[in-house]
Amino acid sequence: MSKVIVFLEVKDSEALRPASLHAITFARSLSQSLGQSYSLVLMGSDISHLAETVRGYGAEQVYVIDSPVFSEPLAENFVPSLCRVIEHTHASFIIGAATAAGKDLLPRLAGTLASAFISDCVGAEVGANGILWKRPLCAGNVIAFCESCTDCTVVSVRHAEFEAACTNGGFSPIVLFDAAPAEAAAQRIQLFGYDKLDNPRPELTEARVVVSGGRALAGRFFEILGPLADTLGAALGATRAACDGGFAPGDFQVGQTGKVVAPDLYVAVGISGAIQHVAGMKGARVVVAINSDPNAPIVSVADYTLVGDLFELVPELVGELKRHTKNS
Amino acid sequence: MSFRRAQVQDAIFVRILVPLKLVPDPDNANKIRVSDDNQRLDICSMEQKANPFDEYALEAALRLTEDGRAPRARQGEIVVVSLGSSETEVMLRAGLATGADRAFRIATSDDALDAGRVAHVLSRLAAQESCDLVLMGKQSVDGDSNEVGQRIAAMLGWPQVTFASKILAHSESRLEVEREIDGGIQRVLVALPAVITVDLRIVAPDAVRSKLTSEDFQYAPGVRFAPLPAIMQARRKQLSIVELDAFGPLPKRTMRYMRYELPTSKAGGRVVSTPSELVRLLASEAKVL
Repeated sequence: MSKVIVFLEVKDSEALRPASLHAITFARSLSQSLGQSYSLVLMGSDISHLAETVRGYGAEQVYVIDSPVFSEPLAENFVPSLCRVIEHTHASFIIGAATAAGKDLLPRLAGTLASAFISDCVGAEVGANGILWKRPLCAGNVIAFCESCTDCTVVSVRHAEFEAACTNGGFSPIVLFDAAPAEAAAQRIQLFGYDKLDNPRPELTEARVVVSGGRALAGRFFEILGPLADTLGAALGATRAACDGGFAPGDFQVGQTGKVVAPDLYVAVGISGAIQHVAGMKGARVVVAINSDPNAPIVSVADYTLVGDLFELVPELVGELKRHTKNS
Repeated sequence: MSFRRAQVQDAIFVRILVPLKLVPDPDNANKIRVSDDNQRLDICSMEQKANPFDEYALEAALRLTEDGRAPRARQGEIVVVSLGSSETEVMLRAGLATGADRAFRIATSDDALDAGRVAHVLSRLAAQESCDLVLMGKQSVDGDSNEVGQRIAAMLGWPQVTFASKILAHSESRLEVEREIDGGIQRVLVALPAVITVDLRIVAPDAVRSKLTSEDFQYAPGVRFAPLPAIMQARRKQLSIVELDAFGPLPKRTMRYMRYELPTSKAGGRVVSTPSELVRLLASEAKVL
């Protein structure tokens, strides 16, 4: 049985959250280094139809736990069933993506198991003396290597650091598993509502291109950045100040405490480049800064900088990009 | 669902535990260095500050236990705690000055701790002090691991509400909490005792409201500062120093940091003069278009 299991996150009972595919990539490479197989765990309410979609990733087994217990996506409902899978498989490594749900659930699981929790893991070195888990500290200004001291290790993966797994053929067997009852604590917490953000653009952590804006855009955030994002097929992001100011939804926040992105192209518009913001985007392959201040810290992490009034430069850039697309 | 809670059934009393962590100044995190043998972080020259998320949690606790218009009369008790050396006492005194009632310092060095042990001590303290709520930052900005609150909830068997951006008290023992999650805002109802970890926007003007605070009341954004008389008074408030092993034998360590490195920084870029030149470079040089 697999020593490595991957918790797959389901988005609104409809689809697999793409971040989970990046976690599969991490788990694959870990299990290869260990000479082990890996298995997938799909949990949710009315999610059996998704099982077929994850059979082609080369997992030894796909555990499917479809139960109304999970109709409310709360950690208290998921932990007992995950514990049951771990007990059954004797898994040593439980991997999940460091999404909001993963960051909520996985440390509670670690607490329940009295296990190590490796948060926001960006790599694993498998050596003769065991595994060194690599993770950033202090807003990414330090890279730490740590070892687990417990039999079981729960890992949340910084998914932006890894490619999405491709199906590699194969046809993993599905193992239907019974859900365990929710924790007693679940009696005292209840889902009350969900305000889904109406965002027609790609997901931040998935997009190949991200256009982000700072407070300087103020009430013209969408008016200025929307056309640029649409021309590039980009996701929209924002700084903390822009979110706090109410110019962009909190879900857009890129940074140490927001989302971490690693796109091919990151366009920072009116962003000074505070340490906390840079922590969320320095994994981008190419960074463009558009800023009125040529000495702003963002310039030192940017590959290309346009200096000037962003309210003039951005529309001009949109025009140039459209001309480029038409000509090529 | 049941909302029963023996200790707070009829009372107007809620006791909140707010853990505070001392961290190297986050605005200078890029000045952190690593020792030559890669074994230690060199933060000696850096100013130590309260973890910002923990300060937000304290502000949220203050708002939950007062009438926003008359914040002096506290309806409930706030206990602040830190694990560390005597250096943490300045931070604890500052917490007392802004309105916390009592403080604990758990005497230890950071080397003796990991997240599991911190959670063990804090959960024991919460139980010992009959706390109804552990209200804390979602993560410390040095460890960045976003873990201790969830571990405390697991250890105590309490519900957890992570990444809270809004807390509204329906009663003394029942809270409506908004959470910032991927793709939107989730609203939950939670019955105490519980663990809540707070996100950045918990200190917005209308983010936290006690039952006493009227719906139209707006706080000044951010955390409050203590007036001078309160700083003087705080010296007379109780700060208990407790040994680390007072909460029973420490659990086995769960993880250990073995080595540190600084990330490689990339070479600086260049200033381009016009959007058309930028597009040309993105296409021909960077090959991202």
